[in-house]
Amino acid sequence: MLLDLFLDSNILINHFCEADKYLCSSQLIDKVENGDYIAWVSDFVYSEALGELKNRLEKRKGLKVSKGEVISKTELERMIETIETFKKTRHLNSTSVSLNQTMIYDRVKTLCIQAKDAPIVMCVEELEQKLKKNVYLVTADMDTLFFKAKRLVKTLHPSFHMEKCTSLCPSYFSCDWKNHFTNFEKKNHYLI
Amino acid sequence: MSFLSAISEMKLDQNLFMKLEIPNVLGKIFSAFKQLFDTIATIAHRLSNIEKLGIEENWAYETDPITGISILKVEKDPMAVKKTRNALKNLFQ
Repeated sequence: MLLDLFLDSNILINHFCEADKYLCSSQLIDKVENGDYIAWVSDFVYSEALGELKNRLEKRKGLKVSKGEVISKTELERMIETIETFKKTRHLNSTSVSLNQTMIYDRVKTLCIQAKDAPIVMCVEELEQKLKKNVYLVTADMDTLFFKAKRLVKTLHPSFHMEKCTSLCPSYFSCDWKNHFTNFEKKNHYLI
Repeated sequence: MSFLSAISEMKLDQNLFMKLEIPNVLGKIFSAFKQLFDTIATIAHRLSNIEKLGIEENWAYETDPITGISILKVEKDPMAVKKTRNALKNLFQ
């Protein structure tokens, strides 16, 4: 049975901007495209990814604080177009969930996560409820979301599909995941 | 040669010039014009975005009758991942 994965925005960003740096994220997207997994992405994750792309482009233009319109309409349209193209990836489902403020407050209080991460956890919960099977939240946010969300949903690092992290990966020595767990059986624990 | 020295060479009363606060007034006029142009640019940009959002016909979600999940109905493209990578490589070059 194929695993259902919910992708966090950092996976999309790694794929969009740092595919050469984070091999695990880009290879995961390739595997989704090949039909090894079923991926779910929500509309607010796309919005977050768009915001991050915009920030990166502004920084690239040497601006710490955006004053006025520094990104042309064409550049913005190209960013939106890219995200729209990404939605056409095979075996990737774009979904939308209904949210309310009380539920967001509740998740923030329960998990002590950032408010922007609460809809992600809620979306995974809703998908699990509706699909009646496990949905794994895949996130590279090792500082907060990965560990904190684990109390409500199952979380995975984007490298879970790899047998072993390769030293050829440019982020091999700086990767948080590698620093947290050197024994790869530990991460497979979440799949059982 | 500065503007003020040019004025003094023309044998105008420099004190009178300062008293009239001409540089201040000119600055305010320029500032007002700049604000006006900024406002016009912002409005134009926002209007263009509204137009852009208005034509987003792809954002049509269909609810799966069995699971009740809203899924965006979009035609799949086998080259989507490759196209995405190339497009962003070009954008960030």
